[in-house]
Amino acid sequence: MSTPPQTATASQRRNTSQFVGFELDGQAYAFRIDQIQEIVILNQVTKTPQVPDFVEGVANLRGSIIPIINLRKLFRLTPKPSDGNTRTIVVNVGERTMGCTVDLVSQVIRIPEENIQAAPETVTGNGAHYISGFARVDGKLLILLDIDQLLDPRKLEQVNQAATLDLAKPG
Amino acid sequence: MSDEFSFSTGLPSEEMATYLQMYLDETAEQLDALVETLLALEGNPTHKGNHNEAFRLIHSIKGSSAMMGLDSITVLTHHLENHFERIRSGMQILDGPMMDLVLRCIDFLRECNTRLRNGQALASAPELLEELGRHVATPREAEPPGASPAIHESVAPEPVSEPALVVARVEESIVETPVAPPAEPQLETPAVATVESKKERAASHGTYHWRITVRFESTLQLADLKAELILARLADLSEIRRSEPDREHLATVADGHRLQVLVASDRPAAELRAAADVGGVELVEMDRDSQPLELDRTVLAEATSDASESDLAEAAVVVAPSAAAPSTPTPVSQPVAKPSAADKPIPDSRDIAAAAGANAGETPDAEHKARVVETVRVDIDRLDDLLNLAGELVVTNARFVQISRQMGPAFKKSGRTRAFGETMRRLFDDLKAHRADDADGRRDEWSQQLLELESEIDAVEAQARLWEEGRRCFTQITEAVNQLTRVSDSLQRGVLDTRMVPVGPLFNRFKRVVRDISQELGKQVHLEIHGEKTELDKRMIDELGDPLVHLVRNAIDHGLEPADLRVQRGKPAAGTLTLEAVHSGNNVYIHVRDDGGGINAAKIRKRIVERGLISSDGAAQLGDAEIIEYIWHPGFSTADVVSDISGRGVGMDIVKTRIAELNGTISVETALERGTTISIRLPLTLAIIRCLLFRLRHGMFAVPIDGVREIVSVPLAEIVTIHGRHTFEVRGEFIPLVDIDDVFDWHEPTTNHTVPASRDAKRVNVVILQATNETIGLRVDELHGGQDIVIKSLAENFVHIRGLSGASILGDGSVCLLLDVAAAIDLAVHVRGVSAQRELVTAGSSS
Repeated sequence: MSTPPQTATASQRRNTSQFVGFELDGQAYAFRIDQIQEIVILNQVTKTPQVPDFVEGVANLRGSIIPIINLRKLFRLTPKPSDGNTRTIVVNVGERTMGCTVDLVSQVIRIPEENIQAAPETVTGNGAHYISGFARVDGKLLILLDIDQLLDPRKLEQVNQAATLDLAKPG
Repeated sequence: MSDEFSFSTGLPSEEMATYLQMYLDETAEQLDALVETLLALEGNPTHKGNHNEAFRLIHSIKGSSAMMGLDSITVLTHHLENHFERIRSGMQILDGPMMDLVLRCIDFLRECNTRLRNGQALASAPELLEELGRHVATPREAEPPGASPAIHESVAPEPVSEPALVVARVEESIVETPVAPPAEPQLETPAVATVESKKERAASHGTYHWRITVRFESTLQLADLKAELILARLADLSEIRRSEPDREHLATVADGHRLQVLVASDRPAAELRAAADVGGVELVEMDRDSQPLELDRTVLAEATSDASESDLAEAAVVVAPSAAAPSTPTPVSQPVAKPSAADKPIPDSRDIAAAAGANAGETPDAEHKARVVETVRVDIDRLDDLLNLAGELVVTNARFVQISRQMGPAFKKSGRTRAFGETMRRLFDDLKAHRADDADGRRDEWSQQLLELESEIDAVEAQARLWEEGRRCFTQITEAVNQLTRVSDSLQRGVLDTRMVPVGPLFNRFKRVVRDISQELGKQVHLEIHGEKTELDKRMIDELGDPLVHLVRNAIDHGLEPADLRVQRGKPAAGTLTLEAVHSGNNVYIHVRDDGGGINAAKIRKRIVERGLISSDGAAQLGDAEIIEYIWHPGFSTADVVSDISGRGVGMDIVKTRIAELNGTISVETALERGTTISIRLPLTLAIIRCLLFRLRHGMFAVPIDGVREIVSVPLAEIVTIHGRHTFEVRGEFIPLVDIDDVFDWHEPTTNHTVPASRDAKRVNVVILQATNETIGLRVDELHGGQDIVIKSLAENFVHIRGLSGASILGDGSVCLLLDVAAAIDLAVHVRGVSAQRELVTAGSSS
């Protein structure tokens, strides 16, 4: 998998970036595609103690043990039991491989750079550095998330703290 | 002197990059060996073998760095080599300051390695070079080698120990390849060679000037004829510029037993040396220079000394063919030559002295080669991958075993299908026979049904046969699975074995550590090492370094008393520090033992109260052993002065955590004024552990068998509650009973944490866990027996979770968590124990 900065510059030359869109509680979000390893349906997640509630536990991904983060819980949204649409997005965060569960994965979206709006200070200033920007796709607001800022184990707590913000209504 | 060299700070050239890894691995080992040799020399500064070994190692690093084009390393090692050349020839002594300097150079070389590994540019070390230069300025007064008592070591087996024993030592370890020995002075050889010193300088590429010094055995008769022979032989290979004594005065050779020849030749050094190396020659020294040199008229020792002082070209090749038995024909020693290195012209021709030296340098090694097992150097990551694959194979295999076990009952009953078919067939035949007797009108009606029945019976029988066939196949599958189990287990063990390395090198690193710390603290420390052959997983060895350094520092800093106090206590002034590795069952124990003052419980008691770790009342209630356990507490340190070495108050805590991450435990044993022993217990390998599996409400858990004292089934009625804590009795001993929720916080909405009084079961299964000196009973829902599990790290993709030492993948693909017994007990007893004192349903009274 190519490293994010190179890919980013490569994409910028084409002025289009690829994102994987997903939904949480009706809101559309997206991750840049570069750091996404795969999207899986996990059956068995082993609960782990001594961790915040947004950590679902650990799962076996072809012999590797990866932590599973429940994004709904991380964002302090109303919990919802998993259903047929629930997916786990496996991402690379630095050296780590982690999974995060989302309500559903919608599609791969190409967004021209000029359509991406940087996150306003009012949002990032409140500790929500994990929001890298916004974009409007088909009339719907898409929140673009920065995987490194969002899922780094050292930053998860911060994210959880900052997530009390109303994410759906930026400026 | 250093400005003659161009410092390259760039990275090695592109084509060399592929060899970089090999170079780094090799030099790392050589540097380790060098430090060890040096430290041995510190104890016994005149040990010839170690002088030679140090020289060889430095030389070999120099050679390989030159090949790699790592100039700053080459330059430094070149200077070091010069020093060691003088040291081993007795012209310089390896004193304290010199030793420090050399060790600092080694540190620099290590740093170079680190930089290379990280792809950083190399730095140069002008200050080290300058210091090395300063040390040259004050060499010990040059003596003829033979006269030096330091050189006169009793290593030579023969009483005829000749002057140059420096060489004799080398000679002993040389592999002797019998090359047709010129047995006697070859008188018949006509002295035909002409000295053509006036010929124009051979300036062609690859031609160098060599100063060849030949020393004859002092007992040799007719040395002048020998000298003539040598000149003749050299003349075939080279252009002889000058000789000392010259041809007309060869008779004087007998006085000095020495012949010096200046030649210009494009032949490899080895060839020239072979030419000069005839019977009766004690040693051949070859110096190479880019310019023709004036021949030294001084004694050999001075010549060598001068050369190294005046220029850097000095780098002798020393060969001693027959020092031990001069009068008998002896095979000519033919050191392993390295023509590739020797022939390769390097812009600065002085550097090549290294290449020539390679021959001498390599000789001690040659002796070992016959015995050393052939090895392959493998990237540890590859072994990791292999181990992971083997682990997955084992897991997959476990799955097969599980499936075939489940299939068993289905096929066991296949015999009944056949019996059923047979019964039906018999009944049917009876029926048919019966029908033949019956001849009324219902015949057609019957025959239709009979036909149907027959085909059904046929189908059943066919099914039975298929079943039968299936059963045969199943038996074969079972056999194959058993076979697979054997193979995959052996494979896994095999892979594990390849990762096992002796702890020796790890321990040996501490010779240096101990030396440095003891010097820094002004304490005399004698280091003893035992069990260095004990093997441990490579990864484990890598991880153990830092914790051990902490422990060793602590032992020297806090453990060993100052010398005067030791003497007062009737102990030797020098403290003894012991590093010991012992293999026992599935574990390896590493003990760090000192004979110091022991841990003063009173002092610790005071300290922990001061630090607010415990109330003074609380401290008063604890026994000494419990108090001493506080040394592992975060933020605890007894050192009155926070020194650079230890006493930062984080050491022991970190040590404990690190050991726990390796699935090991650590314990301390101490006696006042007698000393302290810290014991680390480690599993043989990081990868596989024999575990007990059990199910809890939250899922499967595993606990290393070593942490389990016993498994008991406790009647609910016998669980008593004392001050809100559950306790049960095992053979007169009261053990606290905990639920997993007392150990861990699961971040769950308040569930029923109490021991369920209204459970159907009248008994509960309890696993009694034990770590160092604490014991708890953990209530489990279901026991699943023992199993070897492959441990995977939780921290690799996530974070380290206190109380868990990892996780593993079970046969069904699910993840089970591995309990860290010591941490879990700690959590249950000390951390969450307080909250466990809530009002609980008294199981004993309500059931």
